[in-house]
Amino acid sequence: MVRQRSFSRQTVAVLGVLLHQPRKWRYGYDLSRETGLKSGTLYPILMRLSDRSLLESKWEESPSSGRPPRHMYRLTNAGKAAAREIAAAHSESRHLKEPLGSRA
Amino acid sequence: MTGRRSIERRIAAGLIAHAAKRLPDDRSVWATAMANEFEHLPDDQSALGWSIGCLFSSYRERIRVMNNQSPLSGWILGLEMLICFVPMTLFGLAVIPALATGSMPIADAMIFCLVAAIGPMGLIVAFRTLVLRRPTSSKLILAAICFFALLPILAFESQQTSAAMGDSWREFLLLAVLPAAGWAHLVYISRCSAQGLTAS
Repeated sequence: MVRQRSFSRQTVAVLGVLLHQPRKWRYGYDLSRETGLKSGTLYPILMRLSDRSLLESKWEESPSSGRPPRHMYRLTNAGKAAAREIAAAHSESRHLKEPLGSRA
Repeated sequence: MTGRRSIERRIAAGLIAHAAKRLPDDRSVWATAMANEFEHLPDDQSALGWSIGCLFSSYRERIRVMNNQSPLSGWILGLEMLICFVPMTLFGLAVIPALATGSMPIADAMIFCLVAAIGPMGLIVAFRTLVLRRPTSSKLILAAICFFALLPILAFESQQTSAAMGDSWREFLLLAVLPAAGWAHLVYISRCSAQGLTAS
């Protein structure tokens, strides 16, 4: 079981964005915009996720001539499982924090 | 990309190139990833922000690798923590014989122990952080111990007149400043660990 406390809030945000469309490859800049994280925060997170085999990456040749290839990212199967666990834990804790009267 | 680059873009390009060079060798793929992504950013302002962020992350990564790889750094940190917290711990332990001989009232002893508490607390947290690799991430605990770290400084200043302060600067340094500095460093290490991924 993945301990939620082992992931920072920012990492959870990155995992959430990647889990939203788990098959889609994403660029670093797109992740930065979707999570609201700056590159200085995002890249260490991506490095750690990759070190832990939760993230896979590939290079994509740029369609524009003169521009270098771009690195793209998506979750591995282990990454998806970890992200789903964290998402489940989050929704459970949010549910517990809600006042009883607000539950449908 | 056509045309001359703006000054902003050129500065950003210089920063990203520097950031890519500063990353450790085993992060060369990430260095290339950052630099290549930079070339695809839509505007100069984004490019400048991107490059500054990458510069921070590359230095952070370099420092992290240095701390992990150097066998000396753990020893030096340990020595630093001993220097910062052992004097105050010994100062607090001096209460015991004073209480045993009745030369110190209990109320005074309790205040004495409260002020000196940062010594053993700092040693315990340093042991957890540096030896067990379990840095304290609870903000409440960190804040509480910050309070104890400030107590010696406040106690010292309340006891000393400005004239006497000049004569007792050694005690002030050893018993007030060093524990506070040691504690500040431990908080920094804990926050650095907490902000990245911590090992499960």
